[in-house]
This record gives sequence, C-alpha cells and structure tokens, in this order.
Amino acid sequence: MAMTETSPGELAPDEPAVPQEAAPPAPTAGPGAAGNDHKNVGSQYLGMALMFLLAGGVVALLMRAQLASPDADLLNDREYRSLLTFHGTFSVFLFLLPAWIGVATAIVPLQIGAGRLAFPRLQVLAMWLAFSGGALVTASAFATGGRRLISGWSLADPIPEGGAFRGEAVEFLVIGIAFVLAGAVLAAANLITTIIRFRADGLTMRRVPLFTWSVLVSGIVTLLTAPVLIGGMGMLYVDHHFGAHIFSGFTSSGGGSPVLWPRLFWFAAYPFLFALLLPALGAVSEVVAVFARRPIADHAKAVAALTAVGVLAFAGWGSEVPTLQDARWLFAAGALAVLAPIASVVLNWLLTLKDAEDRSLLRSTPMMLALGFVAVLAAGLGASAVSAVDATGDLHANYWQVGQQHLLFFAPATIGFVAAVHYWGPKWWGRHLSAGVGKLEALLLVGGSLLAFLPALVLGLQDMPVRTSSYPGDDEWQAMNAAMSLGSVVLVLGVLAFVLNLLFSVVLKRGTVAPTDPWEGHTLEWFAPSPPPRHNFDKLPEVRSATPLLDLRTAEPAPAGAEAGEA
Amino acid sequence: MSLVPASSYGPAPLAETYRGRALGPPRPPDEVPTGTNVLGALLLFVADLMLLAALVTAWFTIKAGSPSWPPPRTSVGTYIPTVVGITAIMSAFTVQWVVSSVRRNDQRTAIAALVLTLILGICIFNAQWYYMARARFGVADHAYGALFHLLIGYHLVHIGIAILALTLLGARALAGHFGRENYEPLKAAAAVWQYSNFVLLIVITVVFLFSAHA
Repeated sequence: MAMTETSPGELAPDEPAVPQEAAPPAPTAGPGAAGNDHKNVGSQYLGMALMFLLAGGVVALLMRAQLASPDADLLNDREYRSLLTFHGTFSVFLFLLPAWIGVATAIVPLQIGAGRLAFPRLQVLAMWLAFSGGALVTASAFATGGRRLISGWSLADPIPEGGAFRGEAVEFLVIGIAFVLAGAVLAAANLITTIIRFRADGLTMRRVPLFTWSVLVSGIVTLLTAPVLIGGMGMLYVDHHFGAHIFSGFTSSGGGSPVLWPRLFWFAAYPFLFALLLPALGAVSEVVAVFARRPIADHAKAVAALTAVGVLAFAGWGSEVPTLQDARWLFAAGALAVLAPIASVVLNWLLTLKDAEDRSLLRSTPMMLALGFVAVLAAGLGASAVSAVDATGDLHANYWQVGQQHLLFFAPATIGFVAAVHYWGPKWWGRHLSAGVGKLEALLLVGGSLLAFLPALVLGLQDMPVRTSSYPGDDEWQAMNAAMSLGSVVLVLGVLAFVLNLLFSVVLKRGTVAPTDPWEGHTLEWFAPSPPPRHNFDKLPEVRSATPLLDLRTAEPAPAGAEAGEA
Repeated sequence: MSLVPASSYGPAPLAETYRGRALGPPRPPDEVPTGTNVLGALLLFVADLMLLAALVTAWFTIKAGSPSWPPPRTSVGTYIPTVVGITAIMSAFTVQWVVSSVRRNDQRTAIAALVLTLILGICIFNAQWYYMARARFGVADHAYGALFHLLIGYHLVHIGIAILALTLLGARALAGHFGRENYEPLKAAAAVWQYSNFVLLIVITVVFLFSAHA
C-alpha cells in the first residue's frame, strides 16, 4: 500500500545526523518479515477503515437527502431502510472497528517500547479476515435480496429470516460481520498479549500510557463481546440457510424465541460501542497532556476511570431491549453509571488544561480536534443521561436515540480517530498532515456533528420515530430535518478534507517531514525515529514514570529527582 | 524546570547515558518473553468460551419458553455421550502423559502415549459424528434440533482442531524437536486438547444434565 512507503533516510534538516546501527536485511518470511511490520498492518487497516468511512458517509448523504424535505420520493421506505442497515454496519463494524485496530496496531508497540507485536503474523490474518468480511458485507448489497435488508444494523426489526428475506444477501451480511469480528478477536488478543508481555523495562502496568491502557480495556471488552455477536451471527446463518427456528416464534413442532436475538445482540453490542469509544478517550488523553506541556492531572484516576468504563459498559445493555421493561430501573442505573467515569476522564483533561503552560498550543490541530471531541462528547453525555432515566422508553424509539448514539459514540469516536491520526501521523509515516486543513477538518467535523445531531434530539422531543423514511409537509419535523441534512453535508465535507489531507500529505508525500519528536511528546514512541525502522528502537531511555520523555526533557544533567514527572 | 526544544535530542543516540539518564538496549526483536504463547492461547480460550456462552444462552432462553424440552417424540439417548465422556476423561490423562514423558526426555513413552491419545481422540470424534448422524431430527426441524447440532458440532470442531494440532506436534516430537528444555508448543497442544474436553463437559452438562431425557 502506497501509504506505508516511507523513506527512512529523510530527516529534517535540523536533525542531528545520528549514526544508526546497521539494520539487518529484512527477511521475506517469518514473523520479522517487512509485510508483518505492525506499522504496515496498521496502515492497511486504516485504508480499509477510510474506504468504509466514505461509503458510510455517502449512504448517510442519500438518506439525509430523502429526509431533507417533506414528501420526498428519492427513496421508498424499503430502500431507505436497507440503506440504514448498511450505514450502521459500515460505520460500526467496517469503519470504527478497523480504524481503532489500525491505530492501536501501529502505535501500541511503539508506546510501550516494544519492537513488534506479540504475534506479528496473527495481526496479518486478522487484517485479512477484516478485509474479507468487508468484501462480503459489500457483496451482500448486490446479492439477491440485498435491497430487502431492512432490519437495521442490529438486525432486529425484523430479524432477517423466513420468506421475506429470501436470497443470499442475509447470509453474506452475517458471515461478513462474523469475519470482521473474528479478526477483531484475534487482533484484540494480540494487542492484550503485547501490552502485558512486551513492555520495556521499568514500564510497569501503573506507568502504561493512557492510550495503551484504553486499548487494553477496549481489547478485553472486545474479547468478551465480539464472540457473542459471532455466535449470534452463526445462529442467524443457521436459521436463514438451513431453515432452523432459533429466532422465530413458537411453531407446532417446537419453535425458538423471538426475544432471544435482541438480548443476545445488545448484551454484546452495547459494551462493544463503548469499546469503540475507549481508544478515543485514551488518544485524546495523550493529546491533551502533551499540548498542555504537563503530565495528565491524575494518571491513576484516569486509568481507574478508563477501566471503569470497560466494566460498567456491561451494565446498561438491557435499556436497548424493549422486552426487558420489568428490569428497566436496573439497566437505567447501569446506563447512567457508565457515564460517570467518562465524565471523570473529561474532568481530568480540564484539570490538566487549567495549568497549561502555553495557551497558544491549544490552537494546534490535534488539540483543536481534542477540544471539539470534548464539546461533542459533553452533548452526548447529557443526552445519554436523559435517555437513561426516561421511564417511558420513548426516547429509545424516537430520534432522541439517533442523536444520543451519534453524540456519545459515533461522532466522538470519529473525531478522536482524526485527532489520533493527526497526532501520531508524523511518527507513523514520518510526514505531518497539513495543519491548516486539519483545523478546517476540526471545524467541519465538530460543527457538522453538532448541527446534524443536536436537531435529532429536538426531533426526539417532537416524537419523530426512528427509521422514518418520509414525513408530510405540514409537519413540525421539517426545520430540524433540514438542519440535520445540512449537518450531514458539513460532516461529509469534513471527512473528505481529512481523507484528501491524508492522501496528499502522506500517500503523495507532500507533508512536512516530521522530526523525531514534533510535539514534545511524553511517551516512548517519540524516542523512535520518524518513521520508526522495522525494529522500532535502537536504544530506550530509562522509564521511571508514566512520562519517560518528559522526565528526559526536564532532567538535570545529574540523575537527581528520580520520580520527576509522576503526577 | 525549563523545557528544552524538541530537536535538542534527536533519534535515539547510541550513548550509554543521555541527560543523566541511562539508555538501555530494547528487547531484541526475535526474543519472545516467557508466557507469551500461553497468555495468547488463554485469551483465545476466553473468547471461544464467550461464543459457547452465546449458544448456551440461546439453549436456556428457548428452553424456558418451550412447553416441552426436548420436543415430544425426540429421543437422543444418553449411551453415546456417556461413552464419549469417559473416553474424554481417559484422553485427558494420556495427553498429560505425553507432556510429562517429553519433560523427562523419555521419547519412547511419549510416542506410545501420543498414539494412545490420538486413538482416543479419533474415537471421540467418531462417536460424536455418529451421534449427530443418527439423531432422528435435523437442524431445521425445531429449535431444539438446531441447538443440539450446534452444541455437539461445536465440540466436534474443537476435538478436530485438537487432533490436528496434536498430530502436527506429534510429528515434530517423533523428529525429536522437543525435550526437557523445549516443549512449550507441545504443552500448548495439550492445553488445546484439555480445552476441548472442557467444552465437552459444558456441552454434556447443558444438553443432558439440564434437560429431561427419558
């Protein structure tokens, strides 16, 4: 992939020429082969993610074009709802999941001072599973019955089995998703093993950088939830392909249970969404601390909060399942509880920023994206708190749900991902992304998110049901729908700016060549050359805190103040 | 504390110390810390168990809503699962025997135990296959049938993988690849074997001990 072609020889003019140890020739096979380099695999994951980000954006534009004005006849109800299915599937399983696996694959080994992943070839297998899964899901749109996939990404309205879903499209879809998730399980196991076994000397678990920690928690959540979804997809496949009755209602010969699928799906998918938000929280934590020029206000508390998000994510799943009304108060408590540690992480960032040394740094691109992330996430936290305590369940059935999920999960996870690529891109590929275009991206993505999804909350209060494909002209829904459509256009423009920026700066190598440590980073990845050689490090500094490079920069010539930098 | 510009330290200099801090070599890229393979396998076992948990959840959810479970006129018998269970317990001992023989550098005993384990494994595979084949219902007949075949088939896949792994590792043991100092891959294959027995334990518990079978 062109994106990964880097020229290690090019260093910034002001870089001191440092003699590197002669690198051994790259083997062509085995764990150390160049193709198994975690930076390459990460870039390939990223390529896949960006493809489906664009595809999901185009699908969203079509849907918003239909809803922009009343009585539109661009799409009929079935077409609208099948596009909705693909919009959700693309965004969750084929964009956010590979995007974060890609960033984690490339950055985590560097952050912990490792030369490789624990199982380099396993990550390549995981990547190809994700690729094939993406191809299968795409193929399902064109297979027989592809226009009838109206069930939404939760595959629950209605469950796709029986006569109405004839054709192989359903099977392509569920097997494709299962492939992607199987790849995610392998990648998660690989990253967890890497983090636990391959850390540099002195980098204890308490000193692990926050992004790495968030990947660890997110990986464990993925490991526990993705297999449940795979099992569910397998059972859907058996139902559809072999005519079994696991998810269909009772028949004379003994049928299955229609309430089973939503429970199985949301038990896994609900924590899984938090697993996609977690790495964004970790990445923004790094950005905030580095651009505030000080360690994060309370590292231990941030670690505890990220862990708590992973644990409490399992508590609220039942609030998405209509048949579990009896236990609603229990799941409402869970859905509320998980918001608290997220808010705690945000407060930790604000405390860090309060003492920022140089306010002008707050205008740098990754920091602007991080601040935008906070704005959108704050709206999402508020909306989620309201829908958690909503006793009627209406806010889970109308557009409040759309606004809440996009403001809490999809928009922040996407903005956090863009921030992460801007922040680590110089290390990853040795080229800066354009900072000016990056600021435009921040404006479009944050503004677009707020413009598209705050009106969705209003539509929720006006009781517009989810999956509405058309509405009459005299309706009060008109103004907010127009705003949402405008917001979606702004969002897609932001995504386009980001993809073009990446294309020009990195693939076409127009970006400024990055020095070793362009941001004055805190963690070990900024000690490796940009881009890092295949083995990442020739030497590693001593690690005595969570911010070894900050210690190095502030250290006195004599080794005094051993615990400097520990918050 | 003054901040020095970023460019004041370049790409990892090869000195022993830098600004008063010791610089050490990173771990060599081809060195694998102990326990890496075991941890990776353990994590995949956890993931695999969650998949099994999804099937078991489906079993109990549907069972709770069904008037009779298994459906009327469905009889699967308990003879074959009993035989399979006993065979699996025997194989759990023989596979450990392989590992301990290799640890003692006793090549001859290791190969005998290995052949014995593989024979037991093939017996388990065969009996489970036969059990599925002679059931008088298919996947499509009722939810019980679908989940019955899925659960037994899930174990069948696992014992199949375990047989494959032990055959490959056994061939390497025959070639003398393993000894007292180096037998981790064999230990991993034995772990896969024991895990497949564990899956069988869960499947038997769910399908037979928690369902009314005449």
